[in-house]
Amino acid sequence: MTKTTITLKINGATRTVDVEPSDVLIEVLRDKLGIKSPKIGCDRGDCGTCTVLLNGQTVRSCLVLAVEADGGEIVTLEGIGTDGLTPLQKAFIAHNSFQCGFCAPGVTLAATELLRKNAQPTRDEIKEAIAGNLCRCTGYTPIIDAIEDAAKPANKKTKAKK
Amino acid sequence: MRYVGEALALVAAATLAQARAAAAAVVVQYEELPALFDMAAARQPGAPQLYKENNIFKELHITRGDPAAAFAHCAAVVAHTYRTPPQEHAYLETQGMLAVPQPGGVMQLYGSMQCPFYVRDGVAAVLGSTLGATQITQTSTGGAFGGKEDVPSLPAAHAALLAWRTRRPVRLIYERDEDIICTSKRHAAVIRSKYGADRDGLLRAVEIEYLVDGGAYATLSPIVLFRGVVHAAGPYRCPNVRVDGYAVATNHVPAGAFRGFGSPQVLFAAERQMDELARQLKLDPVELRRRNLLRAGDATITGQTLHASVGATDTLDTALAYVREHPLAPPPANAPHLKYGRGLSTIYYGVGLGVGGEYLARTGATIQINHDGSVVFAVGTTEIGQGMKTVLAQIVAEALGVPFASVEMLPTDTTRVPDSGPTVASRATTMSGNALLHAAGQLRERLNAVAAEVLGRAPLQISLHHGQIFADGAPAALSFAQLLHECAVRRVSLSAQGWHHPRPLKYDWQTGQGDTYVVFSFATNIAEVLVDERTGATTVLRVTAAHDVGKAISPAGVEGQIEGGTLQGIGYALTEEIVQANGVIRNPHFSTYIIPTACDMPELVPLIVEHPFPDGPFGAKGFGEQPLMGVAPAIANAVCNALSISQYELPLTPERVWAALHSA
Amino acid sequence: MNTCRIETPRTCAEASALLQALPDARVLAGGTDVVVRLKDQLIWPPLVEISRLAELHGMTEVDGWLRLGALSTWTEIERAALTARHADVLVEAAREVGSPQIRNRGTLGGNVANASPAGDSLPALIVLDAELELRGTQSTRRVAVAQFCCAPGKTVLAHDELIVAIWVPVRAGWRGAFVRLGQRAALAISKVSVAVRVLRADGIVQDSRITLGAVAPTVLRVPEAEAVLRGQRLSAAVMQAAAEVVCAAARPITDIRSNEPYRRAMCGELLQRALARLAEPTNPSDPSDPSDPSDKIT
Repeated sequence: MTKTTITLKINGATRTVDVEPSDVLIEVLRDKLGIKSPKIGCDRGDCGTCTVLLNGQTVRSCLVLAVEADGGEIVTLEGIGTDGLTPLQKAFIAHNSFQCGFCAPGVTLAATELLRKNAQPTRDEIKEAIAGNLCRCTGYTPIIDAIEDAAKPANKKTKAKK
Repeated sequence: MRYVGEALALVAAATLAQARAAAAAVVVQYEELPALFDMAAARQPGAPQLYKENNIFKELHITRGDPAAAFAHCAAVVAHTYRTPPQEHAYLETQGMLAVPQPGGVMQLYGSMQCPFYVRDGVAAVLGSTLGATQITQTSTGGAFGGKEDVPSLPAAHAALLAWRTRRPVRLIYERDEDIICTSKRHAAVIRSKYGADRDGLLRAVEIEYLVDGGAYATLSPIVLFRGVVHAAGPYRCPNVRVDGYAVATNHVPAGAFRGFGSPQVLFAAERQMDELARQLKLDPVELRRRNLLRAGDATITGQTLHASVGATDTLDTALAYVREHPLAPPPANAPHLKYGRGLSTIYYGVGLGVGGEYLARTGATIQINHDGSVVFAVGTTEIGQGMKTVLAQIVAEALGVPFASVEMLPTDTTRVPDSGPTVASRATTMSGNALLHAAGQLRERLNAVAAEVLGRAPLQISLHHGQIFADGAPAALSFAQLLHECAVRRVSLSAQGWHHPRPLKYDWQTGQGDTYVVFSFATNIAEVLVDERTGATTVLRVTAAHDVGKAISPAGVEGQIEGGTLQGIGYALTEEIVQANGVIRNPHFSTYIIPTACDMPELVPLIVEHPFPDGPFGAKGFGEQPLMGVAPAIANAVCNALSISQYELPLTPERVWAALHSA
Repeated sequence: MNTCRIETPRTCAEASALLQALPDARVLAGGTDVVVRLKDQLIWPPLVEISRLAELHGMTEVDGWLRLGALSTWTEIERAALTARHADVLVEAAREVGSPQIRNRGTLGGNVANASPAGDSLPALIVLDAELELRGTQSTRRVAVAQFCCAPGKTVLAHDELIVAIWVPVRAGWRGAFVRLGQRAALAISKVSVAVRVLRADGIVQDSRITLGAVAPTVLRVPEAEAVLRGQRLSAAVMQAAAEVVCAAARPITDIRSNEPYRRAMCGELLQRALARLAEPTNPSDPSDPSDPSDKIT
């Protein structure tokens, strides 16, 4: 078996693409599909800059073979905030969260997954959720502050109910 | 071949797989020569000869007063040897270049870099072409920290050579392990340090030998060494000083620039020494520092009198006040093995290239006001995540009197402005800021003259704020759009070039006496830690960092620099160490070279102190490197205080701390 | 990248047949370790990607055993009610693995088959007396996890065999703990790990299991230390005595992550911490607390 055609639902659109069995998902996203937000920081699962959502869960797209993702649903940063910035993204801007920005796509997806599963995370839960996304510029503080802030409206609502 | 990781051959191919296969097919036959991996051994007689007759790339000396005589009269003397490891920048984007041959023989490069003019000079030299036939454009750069100062010239030259040979675009991007193996590191160092003080705790004599492992090529080692020797005794007064600095050749990967540039190593030693001295004098380490800190009017160890913008003591007071007013919760009562410790450091940083790099200390800038009111500017320094773009746009907006949102920076490109030197040494805000002020001043003169003519006033009566025109302080019946129209009618150029170079410095290279940098920034870090005395593991609870930055043009940007630099400093203090065995780097991945994650981050408290620098734009002085520099000594002092031990080597891994406890 | 062959079988029989037919094939079960290693190779072996084998997914309780499909991810193990009830120590180990993205993808069967001395599943599974269900072209067999690894990266798995499931015996009254040291607070490979499981009655230890990870070529079970605990209360002196025994039993090395004397000493330290946690009285009002019924009933 050499070349094979896979189908992916990427950011809501169905795409088919010819891949080699050894093609890694991030290469296919970046080089064959032109989706450039996932970054190659280490290419071996150590840094998190390649993070994408695969079937609703964040994965290291440098460690997933394209063939493994066949039939799957992928969301990258390009698929987040398509109807204007999300509250999370607005909070990142308000908190001056990023410096060089290389980690930003992966951090955004990790935080998106967290907030979907846990609308009111504690500060420690936020740290754990982004522990797989290395950032060398910011010291993480403004990133964590922003995620905390983005989760706040939900907090307030729950508190109001009680 | 002088180090493991040095390029031997270049391979270009249509696909990555082909390139890998071709590179694997290269057969190299090596004849092994004696190698040198120990910087101390490099200076011994009989060592393999790597550079000139003594393996010394550069030596520098500072001599002031008579330390040998002064030690005899000291009430307390402490002498220790300190060691620091090579540190990896760990920018998340690896080195990468795209070379595109253009019609007419021009070679265009795009890439991740700090210093486009260095890349230009390197590529032109390798291709044998003119600077005019070499165009370098910086692309969005995923972190640098000094690691993209001189290094990108190498992949750029390699890519350009292949593009020149194949007449096709060539992309060259390092993989992570290649990047860690082949590119510069913070110099490993050995610092032998002897401090003497009188009964009142006044520093009377300091003797320091500073030895750095430059690796296989000199690259930036001489100028790194210069910054190191100037900063060797910290921000204190001392009448009797001897500093001897040596950058030696070994067969390690060349060491180079990294945030702090030769100073974090010596400042680790200096601030540990101050604590050791305080211990011996039975004096509070805060009090010892307070008695010796530089104030306005004092002279540094090179005899440079500091006239203004000396906020050292203020940073100390500010950090102490915060910690006093915000005490941490006491450690859990049921965990007696967790020992609380607090440590501090006060440091300084000479802003800009200084006398050692004075010939490069000039910058250009251009500003253009378009007829729709949008403003674009270009500078020769680069945005590398540090926030220069924001700060410079603020400066342009303020100086022109236009809204911030109307100002945009163009990508930095060697054809837009004259050679402006490197983006290093925390110089972008002050240098490009001043060059932009120069350009903006010319534009303001022209705008004011036209507005004055239209309004029938004198130019001095006109002012501009946020795109609104005022005459004698009252809103004028002339909109900014109308003013631009009036300028267009008169065919007035609304494009201007700015240029800046700082005042010259006088320095005697024989004695090491004179002026070294135009101004110094200052910082005090207070680290609070919990050390587990059974595992040796240190948890940093809080770092309170007060920085005198002259004037914070973008306070959020300043805080971002403090927070990010502090976490790099925490890595340097506790986990980060490039491990080499026979010249081979054994931890070339992020799974083995350990930088902090979000879970390793303590509470970070950035505090801004402002002692304006008269020659800086709006009083600002550069400080971007400083946040890293004082963190490791503060943490080391905290660990030592927590356990009543002394540590002389970084990083303070659990293994090292545990061994210290068990050898005691 | 080079071209290679990748097969995506739909049944276990198909997978075993493929493995038999492709003697140099590698199984891909999440890929968080295998893909990293493949990237270091110029030529890739044929790959058998098993994510579509339905039998290897899911967790169930069957006849006194907890059956964990080999493709159970760390995230699933971390969150499932069944593992919380019957495999506390494995849940604790799962929480320590890599990052959320690695835990979403990495599988229990993959980690076991990897046979890394620092793999976090192995010390936990051994103290749980877990067994592996191995299926080949001819037969199915059960092997204790404790007997599975023979050297770093080497196991008793025949080439045509797959780990289909991990079986954990359901035992009342046992409580476990997993503690480890890494080079940083998260995203770290263990430099020392200790897993413990203890059965107590009236506070007296009836039985126990103690394993050490990353301090020998394979995970070490230390029966001599278990013997120290038997018939004793978990007093400071008993824990100290057991700690001394594990320190003596460890066979650590010095490598990039740590050194020999430190690792040895930490085996004892971590064992004491794990036991101290188990010795703490449980809080019956806290429903999330996996309380020890034996302490209350008898």
